[in-house]
Amino acid sequence: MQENLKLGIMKKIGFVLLFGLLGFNSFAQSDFMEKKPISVGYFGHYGFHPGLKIGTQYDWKTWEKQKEKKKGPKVKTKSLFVSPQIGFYTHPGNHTGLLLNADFGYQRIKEKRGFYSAYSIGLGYLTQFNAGTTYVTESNGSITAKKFASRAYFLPTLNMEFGQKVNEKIGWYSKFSAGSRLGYNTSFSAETFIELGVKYNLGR
Amino acid sequence: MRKLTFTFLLLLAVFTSCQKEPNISTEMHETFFLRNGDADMPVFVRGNGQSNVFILLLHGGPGDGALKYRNHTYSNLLEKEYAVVYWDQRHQGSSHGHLNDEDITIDNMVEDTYKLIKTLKARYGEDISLFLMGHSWGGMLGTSYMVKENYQHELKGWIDVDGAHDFPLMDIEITKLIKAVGTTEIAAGKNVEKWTTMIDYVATIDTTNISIEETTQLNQYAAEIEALLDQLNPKSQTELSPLGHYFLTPNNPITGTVNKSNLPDAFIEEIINTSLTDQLHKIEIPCLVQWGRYDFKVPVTIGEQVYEKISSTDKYLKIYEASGHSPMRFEPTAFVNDIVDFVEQHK
Repeated sequence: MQENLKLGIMKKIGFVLLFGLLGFNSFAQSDFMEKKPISVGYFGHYGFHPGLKIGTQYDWKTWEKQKEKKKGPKVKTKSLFVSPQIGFYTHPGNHTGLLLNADFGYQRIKEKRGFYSAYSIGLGYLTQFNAGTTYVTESNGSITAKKFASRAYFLPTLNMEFGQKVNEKIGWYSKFSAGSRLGYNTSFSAETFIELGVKYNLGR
Repeated sequence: MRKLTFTFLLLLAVFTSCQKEPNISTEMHETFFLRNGDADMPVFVRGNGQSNVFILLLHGGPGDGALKYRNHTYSNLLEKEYAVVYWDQRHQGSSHGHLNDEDITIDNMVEDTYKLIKTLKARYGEDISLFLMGHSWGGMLGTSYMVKENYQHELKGWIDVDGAHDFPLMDIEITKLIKAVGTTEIAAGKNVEKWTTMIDYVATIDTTNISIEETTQLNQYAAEIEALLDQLNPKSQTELSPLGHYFLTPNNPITGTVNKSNLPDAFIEEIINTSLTDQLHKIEIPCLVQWGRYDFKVPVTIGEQVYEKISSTDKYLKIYEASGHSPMRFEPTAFVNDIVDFVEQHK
């Protein structure tokens, strides 16, 4: 039974990655996206409920800081950014989550080798789709069966991201997020997410 | 936004379209949800559905979550015989929703239980043989269900496992049991310091007015005592590793822990003040009462009271001499055999 569960998860990850690539191609056609990176990556709720997230980033303020070192000047590019994203994950046999999110944060890139760190606050809207059928008992006693029954939660997060701009076209990133679904039952929940993916700069 | 949601639902449909519901087999592995008002509660059906017998488990805690009862020796044995319905009660386990404190009451959970029973019959057939089994807090919930209106007549039988149907009386009985067993253990020179501490503590308690703090301390002592007594069998552990719980089940231990810790104070107070002793006579259907002799959380005298006061003419009391609060973990084979005997007589 556990093997079947693993196979089921693998099939679903494969399908979702395909969808992600198709979506990514459509992004590439837009002029608006010309100078903005597209990120695509694994999106894991608690790290192991697998999913996918696609996003972009707009740097609305950028500045450089330069320090003179023995080996030459050390340049860091700093920016304030906003990053809209869409992602989903699945907790097999429990639920699937669809997340619309925007991160507002600060990023610092070491120009020499392209390593960067970023810290942000995320404002997310998570729709939780129940697994299987949801049965609702009506006031007259009849029972209605609903597929894809869902509830939505506001999901603020704190995020830490580390990655590298490998060259002008491509880079990689890893990200850890911690947050809470507000209004979850009578109070809140505790959520963490781990992401690992690539960033493409399409226009350069 | 609509386009996005539609695309996502289309993907979900692809993922789920190959899953036929319901799938009644000897190894059922189903998940569905019960929605009652603003609460969505997952229901996990596992085991032998072809038996046409479904045992609806009311988990303990409150706040333990139903899947905590799976992947043990006893649950494996029981699932070979019957279908077991593991249900996360509202605000517990993986249940979710938008709720107020006032939504978390025993009566609302009784209504959830009733609606789940109706749903099980709608999903698996009106002719299924349904038994209700409650453990610990689940015993209080189950007893509350059993004494409400005609609800009990939806069932073939009720299985009460160390169920706390009378919290104030339970606390009084715990103090008596600690004194009685503790005195014997001290006389035998066993764990003298620990027993002396506990006996001295219960001597300070005004049993006519036990506080929440004292209840909490007694509950903690009950857990500690199980490690002190030679009379108890080794307690079986889950067959799933901690990583297995995270990776291989629909359970979410972190969510469950947060849900449990956020249970409203008013709900806990309601439980602590609930006594159903005066209503036990309303229970008429066949009952199996299963209890651990050395249960220091809900003493065996509580189980004996249930057996004595219910009106059922078909009733059975099984006391497990090498068990504490969870006889299913101390004596799993005997525990399951007694359930099978009971179910086979009344299904």
